[in-house]
Amino acid sequence: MLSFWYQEIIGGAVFALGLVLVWRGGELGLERAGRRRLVVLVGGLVALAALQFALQWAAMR
Amino acid sequence: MGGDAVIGGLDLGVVIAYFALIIGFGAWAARHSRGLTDFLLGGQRFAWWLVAFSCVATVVGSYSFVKYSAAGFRFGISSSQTYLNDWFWMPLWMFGWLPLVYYGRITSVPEYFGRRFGPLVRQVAMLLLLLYLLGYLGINFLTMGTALEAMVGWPLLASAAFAALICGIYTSHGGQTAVIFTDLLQGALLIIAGIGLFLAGVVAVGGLGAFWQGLGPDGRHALPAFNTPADFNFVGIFWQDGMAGGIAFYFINQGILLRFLSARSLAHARRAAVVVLLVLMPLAAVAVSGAGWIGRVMVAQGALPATTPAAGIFVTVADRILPAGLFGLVIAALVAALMSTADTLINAIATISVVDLWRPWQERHDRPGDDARALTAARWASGLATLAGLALVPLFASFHSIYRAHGTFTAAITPPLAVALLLAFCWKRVSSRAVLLVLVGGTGLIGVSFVWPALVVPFAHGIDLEAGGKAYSYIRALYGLVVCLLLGVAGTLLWPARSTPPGNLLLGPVREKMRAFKDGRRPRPEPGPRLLLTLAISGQGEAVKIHPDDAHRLDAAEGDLLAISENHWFRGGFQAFAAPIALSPDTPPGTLGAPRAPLSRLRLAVGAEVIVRREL
Repeated sequence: MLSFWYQEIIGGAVFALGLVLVWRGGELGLERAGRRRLVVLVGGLVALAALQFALQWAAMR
Repeated sequence: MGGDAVIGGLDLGVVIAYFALIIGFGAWAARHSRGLTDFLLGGQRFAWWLVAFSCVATVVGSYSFVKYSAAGFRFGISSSQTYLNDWFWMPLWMFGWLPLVYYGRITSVPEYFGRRFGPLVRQVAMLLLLLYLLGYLGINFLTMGTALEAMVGWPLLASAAFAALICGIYTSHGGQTAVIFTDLLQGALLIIAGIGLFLAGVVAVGGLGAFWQGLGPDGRHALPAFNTPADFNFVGIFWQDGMAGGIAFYFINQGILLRFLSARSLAHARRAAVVVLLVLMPLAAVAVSGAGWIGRVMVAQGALPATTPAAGIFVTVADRILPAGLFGLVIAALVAALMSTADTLINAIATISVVDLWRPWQERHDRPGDDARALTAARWASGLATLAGLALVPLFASFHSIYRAHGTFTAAITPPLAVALLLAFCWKRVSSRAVLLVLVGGTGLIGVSFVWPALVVPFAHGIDLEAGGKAYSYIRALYGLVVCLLLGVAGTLLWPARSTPPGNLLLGPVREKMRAFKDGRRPRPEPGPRLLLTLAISGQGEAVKIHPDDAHRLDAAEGDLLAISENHWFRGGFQAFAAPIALSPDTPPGTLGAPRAPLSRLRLAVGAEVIVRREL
């Protein structure tokens, strides 16, 4: 699982930095449109990570 | 040197029919491409699904089927890594860079550098980008020629010339519009054929359970081992493809940028990106790797010898599993992957040549080029790009390993451009000197690392130095990114920008960029209700005329931007355009008075019903 966690930590940092910069620009937020975009972005990250985690975990079993 | 054809008569007929279909489809689409904006950006009118599918055809590169099937055969599911690691850049790309270029009316990456830093930086960036694109095009033609040589037995150069001719014809004629429509067809075909082959393979090996079993414990991992083997390890691929490649592909690749700029609105471009990365890329990963996975299982079951060459596993598996005719269809999908990357590159080179070379040259000589002359220049540039790419074929063919030569070449060019671009739009203090230091100095230091590979060792993560330095062809990207970033930061601290650049060239509030896009009017990004109106001619100018009652029903005011499209959603915006609204009490209610130019250009008939909606 080293590969998986390395990818998620480094890639997650790039993702989080992007989120912060974009949030400051007003495109993301907690109001309706900003929240919907945030959900899509984080949802996409979680979906791809879950897919790869499931495959790694299944392979280890 | 030619050879014996490996493809049978029926299959060859399918491939030839496919070539004919593509040329015909491209020519049909080109009928609706008349102005320069149509040629370069497809008129910025297409729906998200059209952009998404055509984008996949470009993403799946010329050698994807061969390369990823081989990786899947050797290493299993982990061959899909490169198709699933781009999402990390999406916040910055979708909500930072994309709005900046879309609302900034920026057509090329060098144009952005020029507006941000001046003509010298623009020229350096253009040179690097053209080198990258032309080299990439040459590799594509060589790959296409090699594939055709193997299939039909023609000599390599004749095969490459034939493939280049096909791409050159419809791209020079129809530009981005033809590229998008042919790539839609090619994207659909390559995904359907690739996944069809995989599913047929699963059935052939005894179902999903037998497939999973046959992959073996090592073949089921989603990601490769961390730093072994030297030619396929996780950490090298992560930095080369996921990080440097991710920036290069989405932020810098002119072809991809143009594809998303062809969307009818920013919302459609973003939707296309989400569908590409979350739906189509995982499907494409299965499509391009599936034959390799099936081959691996067939070896485990004894249906194929363990000595089967990985490089040819795609054709081997397809030939074993599929009947004649269907095999030809799969080979046509392989050809589709080849052509759809080459046509995008030709269009991208034409764009840069016109926007960053021809037009500034004309302006310097006090010859402001009109749209018709620029379009002619773009067509010439497409033709010349095709010839230049073809001329590079013998050069690349002389390398021992063309992929390694190309990888080495692109690894030296993309990190400086990637870092320079990110710094330019994220950090207002960056100056032209600092960016030049990144572009020129970064390229130089990466070049030095080829002569002195020890420079890369601190970044190697324990990757073996064996294989004649090939181990560093991936992880060199990390070295390049770090070196360029250090140069950029040092250059900015030494020579900070003396003035603050315009806000529309920096990461920042999108609403301000929209306002600039609407010439200072208040942006209204939430789309309004749809209305069906009848088309009429309203004379010249850019704006469309509409009765105030209809404007009220559209929730639109004077100066708002309207999206007008034919009443057939399934054509994806083939006959569509955008225009500002002008309130006109003289225009009958239920009617949209449009200028003659877009109606003539798009072949929209007076009296036709169109869907109208406030877009911004």
